[in-house]
Amino acid sequence: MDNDPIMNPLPDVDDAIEEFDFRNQKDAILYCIEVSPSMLTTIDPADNETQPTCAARIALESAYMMLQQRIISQPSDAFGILLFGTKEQTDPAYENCLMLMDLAVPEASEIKYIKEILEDDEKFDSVFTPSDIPASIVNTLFCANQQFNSISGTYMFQRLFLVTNNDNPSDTRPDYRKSARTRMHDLIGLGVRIEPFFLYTEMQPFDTSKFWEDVIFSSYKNDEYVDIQPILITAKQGLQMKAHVKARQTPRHAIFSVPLEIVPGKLSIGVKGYVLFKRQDIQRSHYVYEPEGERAIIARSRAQYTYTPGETDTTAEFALRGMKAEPKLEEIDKNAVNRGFKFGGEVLPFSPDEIQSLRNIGEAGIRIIGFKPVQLFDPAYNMRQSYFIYPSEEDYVGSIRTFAALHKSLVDENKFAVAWVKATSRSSPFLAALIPCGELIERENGRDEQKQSPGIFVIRQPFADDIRDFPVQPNGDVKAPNELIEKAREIVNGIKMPKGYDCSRYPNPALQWHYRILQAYALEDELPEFPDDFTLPKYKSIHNRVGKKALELTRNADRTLKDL
Amino acid sequence: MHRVRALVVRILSALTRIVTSGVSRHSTLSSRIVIPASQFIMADKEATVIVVDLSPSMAQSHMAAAKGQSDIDMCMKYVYDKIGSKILSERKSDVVGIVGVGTEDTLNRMSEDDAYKHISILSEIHQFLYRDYQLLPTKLVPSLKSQGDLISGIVVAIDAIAQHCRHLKFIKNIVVLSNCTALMDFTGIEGIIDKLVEMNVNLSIFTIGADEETSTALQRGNHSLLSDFIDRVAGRDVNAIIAPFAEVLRDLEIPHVRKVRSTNSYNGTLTIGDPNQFDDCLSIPVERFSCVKASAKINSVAYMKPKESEPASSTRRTTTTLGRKIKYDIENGKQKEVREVEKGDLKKGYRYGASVVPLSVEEEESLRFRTNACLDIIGFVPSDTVKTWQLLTETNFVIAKRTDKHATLCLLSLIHAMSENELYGIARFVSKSDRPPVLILLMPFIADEFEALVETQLPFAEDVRSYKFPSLEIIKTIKGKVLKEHHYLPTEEMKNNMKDYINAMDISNLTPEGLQAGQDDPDGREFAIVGEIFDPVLANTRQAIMYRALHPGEDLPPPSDSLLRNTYPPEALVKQSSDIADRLVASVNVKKIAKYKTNKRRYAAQGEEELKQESILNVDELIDGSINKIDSEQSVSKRRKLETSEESENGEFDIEAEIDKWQRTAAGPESDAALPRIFEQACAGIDTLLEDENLDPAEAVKKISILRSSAIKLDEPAWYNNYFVKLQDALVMGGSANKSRSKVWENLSKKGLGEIPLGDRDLDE
Repeated sequence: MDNDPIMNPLPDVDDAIEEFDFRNQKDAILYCIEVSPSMLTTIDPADNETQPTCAARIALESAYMMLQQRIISQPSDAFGILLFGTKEQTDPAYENCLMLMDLAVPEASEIKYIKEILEDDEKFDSVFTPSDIPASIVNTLFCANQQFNSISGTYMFQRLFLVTNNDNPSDTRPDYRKSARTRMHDLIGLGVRIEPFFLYTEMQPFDTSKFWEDVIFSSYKNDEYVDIQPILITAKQGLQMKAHVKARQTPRHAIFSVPLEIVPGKLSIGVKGYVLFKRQDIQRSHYVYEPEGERAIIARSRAQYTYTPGETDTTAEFALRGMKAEPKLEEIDKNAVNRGFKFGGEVLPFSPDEIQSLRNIGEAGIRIIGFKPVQLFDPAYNMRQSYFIYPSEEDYVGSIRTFAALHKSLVDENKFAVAWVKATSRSSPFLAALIPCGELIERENGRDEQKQSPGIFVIRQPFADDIRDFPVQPNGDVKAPNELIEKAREIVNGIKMPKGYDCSRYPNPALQWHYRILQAYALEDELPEFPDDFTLPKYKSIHNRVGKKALELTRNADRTLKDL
Repeated sequence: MHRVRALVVRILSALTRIVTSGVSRHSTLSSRIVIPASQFIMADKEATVIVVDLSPSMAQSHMAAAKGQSDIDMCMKYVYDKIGSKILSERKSDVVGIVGVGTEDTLNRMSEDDAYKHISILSEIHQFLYRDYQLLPTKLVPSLKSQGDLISGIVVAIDAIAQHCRHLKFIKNIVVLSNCTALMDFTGIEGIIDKLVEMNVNLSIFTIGADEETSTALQRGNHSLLSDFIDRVAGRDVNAIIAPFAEVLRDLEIPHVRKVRSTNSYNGTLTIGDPNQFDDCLSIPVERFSCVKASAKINSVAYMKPKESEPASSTRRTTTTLGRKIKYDIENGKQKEVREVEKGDLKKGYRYGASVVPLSVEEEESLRFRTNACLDIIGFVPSDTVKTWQLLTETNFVIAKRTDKHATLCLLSLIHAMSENELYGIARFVSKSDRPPVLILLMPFIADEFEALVETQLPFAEDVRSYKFPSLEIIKTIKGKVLKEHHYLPTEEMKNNMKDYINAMDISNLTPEGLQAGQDDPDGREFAIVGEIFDPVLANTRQAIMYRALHPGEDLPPPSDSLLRNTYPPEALVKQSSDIADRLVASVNVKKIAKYKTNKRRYAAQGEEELKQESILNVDELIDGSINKIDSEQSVSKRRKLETSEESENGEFDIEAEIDKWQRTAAGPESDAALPRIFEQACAGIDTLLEDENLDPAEAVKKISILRSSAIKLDEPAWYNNYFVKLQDALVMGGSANKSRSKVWENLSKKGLGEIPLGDRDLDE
């Protein structure tokens, strides 16, 4: 039913702002892991629960973990794994560079291969054999360059994840630094972004100023955020590394760039909009054709307009008939089709330009209407996920300082702005609350972790058309007596979570289950039996803390009811 | 919050229905009283009869606000809008009839009676379609000499409604449009009032210029009698209103809100604890209804005219909407030929990178995460810990099961306990069995007559994208130095000016004039309040469709300004705060960068888009480079060519080739020193070119452009900028200017090849 074309007619061209769905964007990630004796040094676990491991293994595990989900959630992404400093090499042109996986859309067999390396110690050791001479970072970047070149033009975002624990690869070679800078330039010129993962242990610190700052920052623009803070690696911290990989897996990109008008006609600054929260859904299934003895292929679907001679309208009866028995359908060429709006049984003609122009009301931009105390903002009017805006000097010099002043003033005065937002020239305008959020930095494992970026959230507010009436309550005159409220108060306080909701503690159980089962089918593994579900309430704890009170509330309500 | 909601409801009801009860004669459209929601919900069907005065005087203009447009033209605005909206709603049960008073002919059931002469039912009560709509302008034309009695017209309308609705449940409306210039006969008005009350008809009379300074005594007398009539109807608890048409015009600018009846989307319990494990759980049967939900958009449809071969008939429609059928193609074999396959031959499957995983029906089932419908409380969090920007979806009301008093008591207790302790609930929610579970936030919602929990979805770990953005308060250099002063950071002055501005432009309590109101000002109200602003796209689309229906083949008018009312800062307030605003503007000193039309500002633009652009531009060159590396022979030949060109004295200096060469030899120690030399050489080459008597401006501009992009590529904008200053001297100021040279300069400015904007590169140096 979901795919039934008649029951679900094609909606008009979606708002351009929505079209930029991050699932449609194709990424390419090349994961480069250094192989050296120190990367392979056994890290002993501090407790008995974790296995001894090594930095290189943690790096590959992190890559694998990311790969496992992205191959399903974004199956068009290219992914590659390059080990550098290995004894073996894939191409004599690139010494000591071993392509574990070429940068391309991965095959199930390749995932399986990585899985085997991780599960089979012997295999791991044979692949991760360091060369006698230290790895050449220049050579590695050149090899990476060649990989990115081979896919160039197809991918929107190309990134190189660089995992190393060597803070000064230029030790023995004086011109090395310049060469590395050049290679870095080349990559950035190609549109590749570098995401460094510098690893250190208590025994082997990592000083980014020795070599890397120079090499990486020489190529970056100033207002870009490159995290070069080293990451502590211990057997237990393997998890931390994974968290870092996870955090950086989606490339930062703006979905709109508009002027923000602060003073009407007199002061506008440039801002870019991002989506920081978005429901990640299960990828939709495809129709698949499986010729005997051959690989299955995805069938491409296309919509065919149909016309029923003799019919005057696609009324509900027609739609019903369309489902029961195939009526005499004539296929209509796309070019012969007109579009228009239904009006009293007829369709009034509208050209595609006219249809588009109906939503073109005003210029793209964010216009502040005024300011209000934060208490007047009501989350009960939430419409959809928020946008995040951050200043950009691209079109207006002075945007950053002006935005910073606005941000600071809103926070200090405890206010928010009401604004009219048209995010792109093709999208529909809407009313929004601009809510500031302050920067939050926490010290974690020797690193300053930015837990929340400073900026302003754009929260869409409903139009009059979007607000529904209250549902009718026949028992609207019933009031809760204080005695019952008192009991309820004990319950809500009894299971209070004072720190609030932390979404990082709740993975989506249905999505994770989907990933695990699909992977098992793809790799022909055994199916897992029980799904993990961290969203289930802690029933036992609830029972212990408020069970008695819940019972009392129910009974008291019974009694109150009798007295009514 | 309660205040807001109550207001919204009041406004919305006022806009959607013309109702009043016990309101005095001078009541206006804006002071209507809410009728209980239940009345809307139960009564679905609606019958409206519009009584239009068509006496000859309607062709004249009696209303000052009409600026010379005739009374009937004014009426038509209302009629088109009202009926057009009903057609757009496509509701079969929303029917309309039209009665004309003062028509040439007589066409009604009481036509034998003289009192009913010149009154015609122009359109029986029915669902209006396009054709009926198109006929409106020809039907509603003032007669040349006939007069009819408006009161009799109302009776005819009542009769039509009674006939159509019989004993069935309908919302019944009579709308009367008249300029009150004809005699009215109020005899037997008692019976009419009784009938209106008995049938519970909502009566609205809109008078066109009947109580203005220029109105005749007859008009005034009629208006006064009609007002008395309305008062008497309203006094008997029936909705009745009389208003000047000028107000209707104002109301017409306010878009229609189409009321949607919400349906219950969850039938289950709200639970604290697990009833399967323990017997001390709190289980409250609840229901769930939309609180805010994006209104349905009006979508276009595909259609075509019927084939000519089909017989034409007068009852046929002239257009046919098209169906859509999904077809499936596969690309097969080495030749990549595309062929169509039947849906029956296909399986469901998923993409797994480049692989495809086909699944049997059972396998597909096993992917499903099994759940039971539930709303299970996980815990309660302090409301101030909730980050409102994390909320993902539209909101819903959760109320106690409506027939269950016990549930109502328990839920209300919970709502009040949460509200008093400033707590929000976190819960696991499955709306129907086997739907994926989501985590929701539950917020207590307490309005005057309505209490509920409001629910919206929270993100899971996977739904967060942790993009990082630099601090807005400090600047950290690469070397770790913290800067407190920088042109990215606001000064104290800027911050203070901004604070003043924010307070001056506070719109939470404004007078009707748009200035800040005192705290106790009874007229003070919040500006741009949620629920007062209408969806302009929806309103614009509706207007456009109705326009096209009446004016086929004409261009659409531009969107009406009224669509964007209240989306600008109030003018009076802006004017009042202009001094503060000017101070702010002066202190932050924001400069707009002129957009270059022809050339992408590759340097100043730092977005990823630009980077990508650049990557495409460089691809060929780089691929060339890697080929050279692999294919040594080719490499040698290219190098040789380059060397020749460098050696040959008269040969052209190709900076791109030079840089290419430099990049391949960059690992060498001499590279850094060699670069400025190469650049200088290139500049000298251009100088020579410019001195040429037969200067080709296009050629020169091309060279300069290459020089500029090379400087960008090399990350040495200063090299170009320094040279550019000299160039400017040579081309414009130096006296050596001639036609070709001016042309070069002109082209340089036109193509945006001026100095490379420095961005903020020098920050850390």
